[in-house]
Amino acid sequence: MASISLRGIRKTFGIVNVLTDVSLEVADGEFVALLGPSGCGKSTLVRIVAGLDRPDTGEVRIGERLVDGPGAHMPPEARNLGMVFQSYAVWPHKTVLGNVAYPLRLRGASRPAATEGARQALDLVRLTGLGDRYPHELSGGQQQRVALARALVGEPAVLLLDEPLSNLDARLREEMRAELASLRDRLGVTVLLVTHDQAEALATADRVAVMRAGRIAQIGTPSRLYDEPIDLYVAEVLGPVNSLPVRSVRQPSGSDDLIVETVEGCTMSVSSPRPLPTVEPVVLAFRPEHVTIGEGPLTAAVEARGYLGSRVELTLAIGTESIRASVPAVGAPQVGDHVPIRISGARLLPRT
Amino acid sequence: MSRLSRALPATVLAAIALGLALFAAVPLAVVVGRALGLPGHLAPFRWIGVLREPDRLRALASTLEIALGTTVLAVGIGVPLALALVRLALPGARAWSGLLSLPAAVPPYLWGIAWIDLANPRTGLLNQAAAAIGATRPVLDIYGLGGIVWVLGLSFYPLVMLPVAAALERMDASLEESARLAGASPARAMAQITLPLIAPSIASSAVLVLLLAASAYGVPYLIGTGGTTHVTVLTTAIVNLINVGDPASLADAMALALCLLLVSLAAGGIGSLAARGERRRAVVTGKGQRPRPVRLGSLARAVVVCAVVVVATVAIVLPAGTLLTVSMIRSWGAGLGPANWSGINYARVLMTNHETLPAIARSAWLGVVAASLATACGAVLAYARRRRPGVATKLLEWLANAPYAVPGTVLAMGLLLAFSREVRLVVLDRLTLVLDLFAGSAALLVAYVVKYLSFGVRTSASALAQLDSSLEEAARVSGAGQARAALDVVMPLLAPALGATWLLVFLPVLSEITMSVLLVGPGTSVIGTVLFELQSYADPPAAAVLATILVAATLVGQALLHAIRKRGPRLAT
Repeated sequence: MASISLRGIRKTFGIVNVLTDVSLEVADGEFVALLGPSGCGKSTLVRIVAGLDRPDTGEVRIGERLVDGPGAHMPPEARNLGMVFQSYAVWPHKTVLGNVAYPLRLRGASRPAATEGARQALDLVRLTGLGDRYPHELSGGQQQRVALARALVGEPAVLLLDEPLSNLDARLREEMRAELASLRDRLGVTVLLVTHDQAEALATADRVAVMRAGRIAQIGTPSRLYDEPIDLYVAEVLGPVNSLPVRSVRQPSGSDDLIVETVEGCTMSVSSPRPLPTVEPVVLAFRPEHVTIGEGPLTAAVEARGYLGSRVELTLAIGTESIRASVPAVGAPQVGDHVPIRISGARLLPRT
Repeated sequence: MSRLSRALPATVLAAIALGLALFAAVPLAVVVGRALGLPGHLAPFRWIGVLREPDRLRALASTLEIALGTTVLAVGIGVPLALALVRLALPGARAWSGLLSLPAAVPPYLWGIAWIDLANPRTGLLNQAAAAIGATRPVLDIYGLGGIVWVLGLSFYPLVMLPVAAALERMDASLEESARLAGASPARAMAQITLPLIAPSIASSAVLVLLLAASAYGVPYLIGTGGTTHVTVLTTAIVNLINVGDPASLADAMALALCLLLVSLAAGGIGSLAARGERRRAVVTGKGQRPRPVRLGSLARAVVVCAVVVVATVAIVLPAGTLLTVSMIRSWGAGLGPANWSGINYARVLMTNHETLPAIARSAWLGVVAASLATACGAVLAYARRRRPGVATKLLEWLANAPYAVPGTVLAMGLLLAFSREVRLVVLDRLTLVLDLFAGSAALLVAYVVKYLSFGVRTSASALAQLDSSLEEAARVSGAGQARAALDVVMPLLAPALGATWLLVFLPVLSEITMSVLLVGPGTSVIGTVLFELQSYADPPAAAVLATILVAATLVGQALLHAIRKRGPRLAT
């Protein structure tokens, strides 16, 4: 097991800046997720840790060893890593056992020892008995497990996961997500996960790094990022969020709260963020589940209603703005109703 | 990585680059340079003067007529067949498409020999049959322009049928279905949606046929000079002039070679425009469901089935059966039945004729070596191009692909002009490197490799493009160095494509004639040249023996190719 340390990583492809000055520390045994939309540089960052791409400048350390830096480059095969690719990259000409035993053979294990090690790794990912099959005889989920077993079999210092679950259907994805978390708890391996699925990042990682256009926008524990995003971008990446324009803000003397006027005639009291955003323009942001219906200072008209089983998603009009609200299905209003609402936990966030 | 393993790929690449420069760029430069006039006394348009002679102009005109006629015939047969195979639910469509693609796998001159046996005015089997039922004059005469177009068109239509069928199969059904939902009838949807979408692949395959027909040598030679109507085309005129050999004839030959080169350059230019159109309509390559077959009424269906059967009979069964039968008949004119069958022709050609077996052996080993070299060099070039995209590798790839578009006659002529005398390179006043291509079969080998290297590059490049780079990267992360990853992962996955490439080079080399006819020396004849001698001696059964053997070898090769390609889909996991 080992820590990962990235300092001042820059990478350009042609004229495109893919990474601009990224620094990241992953502690020994920690699970960190890189979250962001496609093109934000998260995959490139993981490929740099793997040694598949070289940074233009900056340093990469795995454990105590400098693997990339001024004048230094350790090729991927020397880094003792495990990696699961988005496409799985299970070798179609090797059997399942051949795939999983390959890293052990390369590490100098004898054939029987490699086979034994591979069998254990297959047990670990619950593929016992499928060793003699070829990849094309497996389902997508099973191929994914083969890739995982192959990545884990050499007892790597670091496990890199590049969107490993994005090709699975929703149910399998949830199952694999839980399995990844439990495997990691059992093995204690350091994990760097790349994903664009916020649920995956929130459910599995110790810390989440939200990336935007080649930089890390914010890094922290899942709950901290969800509850205290530093700007609207981070809030949106982590889940659905409403934003209302801000007309004026004032702080009554002797109060910690701010009085915010958003749409016409609509003012509300918001707990003061520390520090106050200095970047203009700011918006008033809150999540759909922060809207409660039945009593409150504001009145909203129900414009649309989507039934989701236990909850109902409403589109509400407040003046000229519309917001989304997620409320319990029991007693939810109908389209056309005018209802009083209350917004709690709203925050002032920079729009950028 | 050791220094050796890092230096080795660069050395191999450099060697391939040197070989291409020497054996592809230099010969072409020599032809073009000498046709335009040597530096010092440049006469850029002297070669146009050659065309003032009516004979030469006639050769150019015949070449263009044959090229265009062949293209029209091949498109006219190929496109309807592709539509019938893909869009009409014909029973056994897969088997039909395998059978109907055979004509292009066999060198056209073999079909030419078969058609001479069938339709020459004096002894052609069809004319004999016609006489037997009362015809007073020969009904068919294969000799002449029409005969050349007929044989070439029937040989080349699969080159149109296969890509068009592939484009039709790739086409997303929803494209046509949405036209139907918008209110178009099936015929209208076909005319306004389907045909425009496959037009680029029709265009690019038509250009390939044009190019091949313009640079064909075997069929125009056999059918253009065998009968009473003489047809001379650029290729046969060039070979004649080179065989005459005096300086004036050589100068004329070079001028005609330049004409041929310009014709093929023009065709190539149109081809790359068509290819660009194909990329622009990349929507055709989208995933999605195969279009539903069009249901036909029983009468229309019977007509289509009949047409397909007629094409298969005329293009394959009849000529191939003719070669086999003629190769077995004991005496010409004594009937075609089993009573007149014997193996005497085989014994005569293979045993009594002392040239045949050595020629077969020579063609076989030249095929093995040329196929191995073209496959290996092609794979290295394609891998280098993918690994190090840049100007240098792009130029190399272009240089490797270009000779395929150059008519074989021009390429062979360039090699002849550039290397007919031995070339001595003196290094540092001491080491003398002697390059004597025309000792033994080296010139043949060089010509074959240069001509067919393109197959090696292209199949490897497309196989590598299908190979997700993460497969190789997974091996690197697992602990394999670059060389080890290439050996353990890339090579085994490329193996089927490389095997197919090897066969795709071996088969045409085995029966090559166009370049061989210029490059064989005394005692180095190959199957193609021996076959042409036998045919010229007016010994149809003997020629049919070798032709039958070549057709059989081609069929075995095609079966192998099919087996290799069937293994291919394992890649797509």
